Amino acid sequence: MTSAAALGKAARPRILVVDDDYLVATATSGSLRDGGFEVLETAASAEEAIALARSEHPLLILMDIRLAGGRDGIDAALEIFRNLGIRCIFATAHADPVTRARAEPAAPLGWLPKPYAMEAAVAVAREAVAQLTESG
Amino acid sequence: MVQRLESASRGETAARDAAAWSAVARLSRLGRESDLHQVLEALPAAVYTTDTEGRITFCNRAAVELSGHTPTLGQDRWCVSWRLYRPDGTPLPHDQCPVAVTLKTGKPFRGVELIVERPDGARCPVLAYPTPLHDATGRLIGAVNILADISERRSAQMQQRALVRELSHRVKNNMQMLHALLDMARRESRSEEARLVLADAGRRVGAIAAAQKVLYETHTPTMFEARDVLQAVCDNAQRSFGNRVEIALSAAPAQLSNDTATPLALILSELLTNALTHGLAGRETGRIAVALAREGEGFCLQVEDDGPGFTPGNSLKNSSGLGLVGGLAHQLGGSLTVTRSPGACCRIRFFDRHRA
Repeated sequence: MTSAAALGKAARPRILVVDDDYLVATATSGSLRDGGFEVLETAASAEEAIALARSEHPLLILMDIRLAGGRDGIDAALEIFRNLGIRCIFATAHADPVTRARAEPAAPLGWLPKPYAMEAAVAVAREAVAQLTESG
Repeated sequence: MVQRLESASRGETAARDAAAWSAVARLSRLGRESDLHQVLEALPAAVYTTDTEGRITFCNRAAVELSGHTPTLGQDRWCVSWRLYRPDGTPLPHDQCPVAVTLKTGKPFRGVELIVERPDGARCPVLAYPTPLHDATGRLIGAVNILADISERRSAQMQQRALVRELSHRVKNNMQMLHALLDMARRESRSEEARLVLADAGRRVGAIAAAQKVLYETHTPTMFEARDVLQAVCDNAQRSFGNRVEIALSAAPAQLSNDTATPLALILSELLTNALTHGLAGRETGRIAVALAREGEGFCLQVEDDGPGFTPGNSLKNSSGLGLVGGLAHQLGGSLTVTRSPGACCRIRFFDRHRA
């Protein structure tokens, strides 16, 4: 299950990676690309994420919660889900109940606890695609 | 850590109380009420007294400052505060407050936590110390209550929590960056051997990160529950191995000192990788059983797969794989043994040498 073909019907699903850490964003994007995803240009802030989601319409988003700038990833995810219906996987070092409850209205596709191994990011993204494919 | 601070501070408060109360008791016995009021006025803590019906008969300046209003003596009842809340934020009717209970039961309270609300809406956490008062014949004549303002302590605790959270966040982010660096190097490498070595290094960082996460989330400052670290490492491995392998953990309850966490996490991570490499060789799916048991003064960690088994050979001498496991087991005052049962079964016997 390492090639793009393994993703079956949803070959090369488009994913947006939102992370303000250059190294983490680069490594995650590289792993997702190797794992058969079409990875968009990285967004490093809530505003960039919202703009890219609107213009590129990815199938899903891997959203870091703590971002540079005033707004966080949950803020961005809520706006994106409300306006575009695109759902997120949340990557965070603190998935406490309060954080989870805040993110709930954005219908999270999954939670990726930081620090994550790159294989884990790919596995969670694949599960999310399967979820989206099943729910049609 | 937070709990320890709290109890130390409670201890100090109790000592202060005891000194103040012995002075009050002496003066009461002498019946010098005006002297008594002078003493109470001088106290930095909010103090008030009531009659047997709970009507407030005296309150000092600190009590007025704390509650934000001046009670009508002989009329207002139970508490000097404007409004009271329980620590969870639910309202506490005055006739159910600790003083009311003390007057009803004749029993004192020591440090009941409450929230006092002032008329301007500001809230202040306090500890209440209501005590029944008796006359020379032992008849109940009222109650005295001290309200100790603990808002500074609360805010110090909040600050401490925020600091720990921030530190934990930084550690996790740094670990994440290490993961990213190793992974980028792995993907850029053209040599298969370098890729394998870098992937191993990445997995080890993952195991250390899993242990760190547990230590930061544990409420005891120097000890952790072994099961939590083992589970975190198993989860980490499971995410990286995917669904091909089922990892089952059974661990006896065991509190270990923090210094044991990282070596233990690394040992388990290596043994899981080893079980995947040898145990799953050529097969589609497999099962790995992880168990921690107490053994005499020490512990035994066992990792067993359902594969064909293997002979360790030279790998025990290496600084990676089983060699690393042997070295870390030695660090924990223990040893590694490998047997076939019929799959491979690796056993680490170790001791918690840092235990106080």
